[in-house]
Amino acid sequence: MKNKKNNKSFIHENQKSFFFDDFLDVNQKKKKINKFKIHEDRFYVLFSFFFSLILIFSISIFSISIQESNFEYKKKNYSYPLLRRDVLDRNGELMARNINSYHAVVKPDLIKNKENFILKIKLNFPEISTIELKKKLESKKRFYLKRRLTEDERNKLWSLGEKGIITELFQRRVYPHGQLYSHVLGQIDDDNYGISGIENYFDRELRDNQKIKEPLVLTLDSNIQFLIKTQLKKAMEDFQTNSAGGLLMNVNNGEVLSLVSLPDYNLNIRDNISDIKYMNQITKGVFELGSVFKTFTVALALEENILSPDSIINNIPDNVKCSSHNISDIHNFPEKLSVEDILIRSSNIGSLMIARQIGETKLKKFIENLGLLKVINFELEEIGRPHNFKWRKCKLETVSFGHGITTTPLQAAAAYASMTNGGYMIRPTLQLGKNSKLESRDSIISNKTSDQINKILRKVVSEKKGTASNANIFGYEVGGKTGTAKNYINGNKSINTFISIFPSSEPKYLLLVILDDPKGAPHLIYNYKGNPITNISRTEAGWNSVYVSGKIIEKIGPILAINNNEVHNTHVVKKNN
Amino acid sequence: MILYNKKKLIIILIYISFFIAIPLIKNESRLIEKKIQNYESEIFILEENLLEANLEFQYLSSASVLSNKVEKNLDQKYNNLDLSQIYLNIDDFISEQMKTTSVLIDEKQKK
Repeated sequence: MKNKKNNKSFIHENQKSFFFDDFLDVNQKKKKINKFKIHEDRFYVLFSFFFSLILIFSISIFSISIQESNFEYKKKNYSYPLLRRDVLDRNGELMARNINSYHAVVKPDLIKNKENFILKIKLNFPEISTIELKKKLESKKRFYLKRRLTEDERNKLWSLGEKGIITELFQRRVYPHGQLYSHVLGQIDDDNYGISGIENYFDRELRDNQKIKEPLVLTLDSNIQFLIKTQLKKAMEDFQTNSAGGLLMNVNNGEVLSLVSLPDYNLNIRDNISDIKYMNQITKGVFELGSVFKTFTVALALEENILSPDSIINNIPDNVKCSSHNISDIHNFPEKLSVEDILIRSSNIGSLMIARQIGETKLKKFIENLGLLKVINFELEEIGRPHNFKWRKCKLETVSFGHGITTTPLQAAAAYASMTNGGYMIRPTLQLGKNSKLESRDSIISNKTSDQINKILRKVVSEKKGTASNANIFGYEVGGKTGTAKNYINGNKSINTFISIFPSSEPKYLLLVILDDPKGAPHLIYNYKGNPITNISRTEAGWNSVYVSGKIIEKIGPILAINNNEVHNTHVVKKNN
Repeated sequence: MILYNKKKLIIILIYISFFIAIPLIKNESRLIEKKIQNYESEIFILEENLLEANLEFQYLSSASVLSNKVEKNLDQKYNNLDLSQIYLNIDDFISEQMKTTSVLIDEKQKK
């Protein structure tokens, strides 16, 4: 019974059935833990699923956020694709700029009705050959219908509504001043490379991508250039010259304010020019400049203390036989002339006698030091090379008055600037601010000699016996020297030059005017030594180059704003009294 | 157990907030970029116009064009000023004017 009782004790008192359950505490706990483990596994599965999903999304978001903006591509299209820099004058006036332009291209495959197309083109562009157009259309190759379209032509082509016509963008160079700077600026080719003038010399700088928005600033002044060109053009008509040239330069830093050579051409029009008269007279032309060389002879005599301005040269003959040459003066001069009188009256024999006192070695060295015989370093490709010659018998004598020696007007101007600015060598330049960086300056003559030369040059213009009184413009203290020489190619033609400096008490500017074979101008009224005279048919430089220089100085003087003593003493002081 | 971990919860919250913020910012920046693009295109057109206007101005105001216009449209030629009419400084001008005025006053008084 006891066993039975004991057996019965295994059954729980609350148990109602014979279903066996584990009610042990330990087992119950284990059971609970097992149940929870199942939940945790599910949770991990779910978590890893969502986590991987989030990870994928976040990676994709991250990759999107680090991507470059698509707008960059569009931005590039909006930038102005300049290929060459602008060129400005010293006042900031535009001289050259690249602009977008178009070529008309035809794709024959896209043209359905070719006969109708030819008819339309013929009506709108009669200059295009119909036969050639027909041939090109038949060849079925892409071809240029018209290059360098104007805005009107482009609009006409648009209005045709032809699918086969495409406008191809390219850049062209525009010169707003047209002909004004034709010999200075030069031109570029179809690929935007400079082929002449400044465009060629500064080609690399003008195409420099890093400086593309900075303009190249030149020393030239458009207003002065225009005034000089106008006067020279008038001179070409008045004196019926083949060509003419003008140069205005600052004597202290060599900056060229104006460089004119006539005849000129329009830079905006492509033309094949082969006539020699279209060359740059100032930089490329190599001439025998005549009496302007006498100044160099006198300057050297003064510098070497061989003579002073007042020294008298006695027994000056009417003519001198030198080798096969017979040297004489245009007019008969007194037998005795002072050194300054020789320059004022422009005596060939007087200069010859001074040169003989100097000697060949010194004169030769001086001419070489002035840089008159070598090729000048200037910012243009069109530079002339002076003719080589040997210092044989009689060369000293002829060189003393500027015959038998050739140079370019630019070199002669640079030499004059060096002699009148206090004796410092200067190099002409077209690049603004370039010469201001020069620290040391070489001296060619002393300050004293330079002063003496300036005074003599002033007398050439101001004195009655001087050869350049037609340039004595009140207020500008003009000084200078004339030169009338025979053209070394054609001896019947002459080259007339006048190199002037002003104001001569403290020279600032140098003006050179050169006329090729000027004729007499009887219709002109000259203000000769204070009196108006007309019906003059003389052809020496004093009656043409000097006259033109005077007219130019009268026009450009107020712009250059020369504050000099001549005006002050005569007017301002008078007014105050 | 993880859900009750505060640190992890904060990290997840921050992550979710960034997750929402990124597309919003991206969208906003896209709109701004669009605006910038529009402004840039406007600036480009204005720059083009300015360049063209400047070129035209340079051409039309060049000395040769102006002198041609003057020749065509003006009957009178410009006259040069007499040098006595030019004063190099303002003091000279004022003193000259004073003299002229005093002379005129004297003449009036005499009358």
